[in-house]
Formats: sequence, C-alpha cells, structure tokens
Amino acid sequence: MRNDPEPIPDRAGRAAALAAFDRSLDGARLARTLSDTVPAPGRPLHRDRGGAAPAVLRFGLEGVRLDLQVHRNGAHRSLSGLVSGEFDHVDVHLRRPGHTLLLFVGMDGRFDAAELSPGPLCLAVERPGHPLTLTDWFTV
Amino acid sequence: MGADVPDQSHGDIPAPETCEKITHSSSSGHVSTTFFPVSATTGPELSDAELVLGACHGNADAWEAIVDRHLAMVNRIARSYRLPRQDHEDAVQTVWLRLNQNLPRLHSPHLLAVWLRRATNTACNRQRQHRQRFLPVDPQDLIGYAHHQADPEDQYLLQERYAELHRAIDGLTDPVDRRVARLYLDDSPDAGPISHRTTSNQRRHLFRQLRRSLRATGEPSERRA
Repeated sequence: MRNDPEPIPDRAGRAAALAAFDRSLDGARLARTLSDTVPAPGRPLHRDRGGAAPAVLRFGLEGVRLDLQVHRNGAHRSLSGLVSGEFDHVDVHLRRPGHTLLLFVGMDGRFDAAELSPGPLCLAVERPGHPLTLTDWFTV
Repeated sequence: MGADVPDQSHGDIPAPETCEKITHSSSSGHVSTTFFPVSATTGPELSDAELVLGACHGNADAWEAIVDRHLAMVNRIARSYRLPRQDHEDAVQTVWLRLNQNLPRLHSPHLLAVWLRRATNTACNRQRQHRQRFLPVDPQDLIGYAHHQADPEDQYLLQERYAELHRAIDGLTDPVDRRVARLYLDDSPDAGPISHRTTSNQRRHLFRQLRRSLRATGEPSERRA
C-alpha cells in the first residue's frame, strides 16, 4: 500500500489577498472602463523615450471622462491623466494596496504621478455633489 | 482589463436563495428587512453565497474563508500563463482587489468560482498583453518613421542608403533588370501593387543581381578601408 504525502496547500499570495479586504468604499460608484489598449509594438510613433508603448486607458464617470497613459521609466512607472467634462472642482486619489495618494489636478484637468512602483492601482474621483467614483483596479 | 471583467458588477446583491428574510417592525412603524445567512448544506461549511454575504457585512473571517477556498484555483490559472513572478503576483493581487471592490455588486454570489476564474484569466491576459509593449525592437525597423526622419543623422544615413541602392541599380548591366528595379521602387501614389508591376521571378532575379552589384560597389571602399 502506498502512502501519498499530504498535498501542500497553495498559499502563495494569501497575505495580499487577505489585505485586499476593505469595505470602507462600498458606497462608491464604479466607473465604466471604456478602453484599455496598448498600441502595437510595431508602431514606434506611439513609443516613449524608453522605446515602450504606453498603456492607454479611458474611464467614463457620469459626464466626466478620465484618460490615462501609463509609461515605463526604468523600474518605475509614471501615470499621466486628463479629467474632462462638466465639473467645477475635482479631486483624484491614487489608491495602491495599503495607501492612498492625493494627486494635484491642474485647471485644465491634467494630473500626473511619477516614480510609481509596478503593481495594481485604482483611481478615486471625487466631485462636489457627486458620490465618490472608483475606477477598476489595473496594473502598471 | 476592465472591459473584459466579468459583467456581474451592476446592481446590488439580490437576496440569495440561501438567505432567510426577516422583517422587523418597530413601535414607530418603521419596517426594516434583514437577510440572515442560512446554511445551504447540511455540513458546517458555508456556501460561497453565504460567505460573500458575510464579507459584504464586514466579516473578515468570511473573506478569509473565500480566499482559502479559491486561492489555489486562482494561483493555478495564473501559473498557466507562465508570467514572470512579478507579473504573476500583480495579476493575482489585482483579482482579489477587484473581487473586494465588486463584492457588493455580484449578481450571482453562488457563482463566485466562475467569476474568479474569468477575472483571473482577464487579469493575466492583460498582464501578458502589456508585457509586449516592453519587447525590444530592431532599430532598423524605426527608420522611415516621421520622428526619425527629423533627426539629421538618420536623414543622412537614409539618403546614403538610397544613393547606394540607386548606384547599384545603375550598375546593373541588363536594361530589363534596371527597368524592373525602378518599377519595384516606384512609390508614387498612382503606382499599382508590387505584384502587378513585377512578377515574383523578376523580383527574385532582381534581388540576386542587386546583391552582386552592391557587393561590387562595396568592395573598392572595403579595400580602401
């Protein structure tokens, strides 16, 4: 008779999965992901200085559009974005697992974030008189 | 990414069949309804729908049970994509972050495993697709694009290559080869497709002759060097 060893449970990523639990923003609305594209590698006109094509994302949030470009700068990533639509004031928060960063949004709706480490992030858009809106989580 | 995320995130969770509906009436006439999970199985193990409901109400143990039940499946699917370790970890973490965000909006909590399977495939596919933007490209492929033509050095090299090619064409002894070469290089807007202007045999013969001609024009300079 053969004694099979007990299968070792696969616990890789368990700590990160448990840390993802957060019910504080359940009342927020979710933005629609309108597009998430990477220009083809064979189209150098769309490449940045590092020779990499930026990821281009677009989210729709009830009358407001959020356009994002993710660039690679060596080991880091940078994010540049534009909020366009009808609003007087808008705050954009960059959410990473474990911390949140308030981004400065210019008068023209532009914002950017540099020196980001690779990994998942999500943006939270806050407008006076509107519920908080969250984008889907995406990796940079 | 999100465009392909399982479309179960619209609207609140309907009361699952495994929940017992209890209505409370207060003395002020206010009526409230609460859903309490009732085990769908005879054993002590709660169903996915019950765990989702518990997690939605802030029960961290329910979330832990969800993670422990489905972590191996998510990891197994992610591993099948053979992503680099960092990308694999990012994709898996994104799956759990998305589940947490969409938890109160799941239409069919009892189909949680299906949702996770699709979300993992979506996250890994995106990760794999986005890796392609970092693939190295032969710099020769970049010649000819507008932003490179603006560079004087690139322009000079391009002109050199053009001049060298035309010198080689002029060096062809057969007038038919020279005519075929000029037809082949004709980039005027009204030029027909290459297959109409030249035959494959003509092109094959032309390339052979041009290689010889280019070797012949290159030899004196090599000797000088």
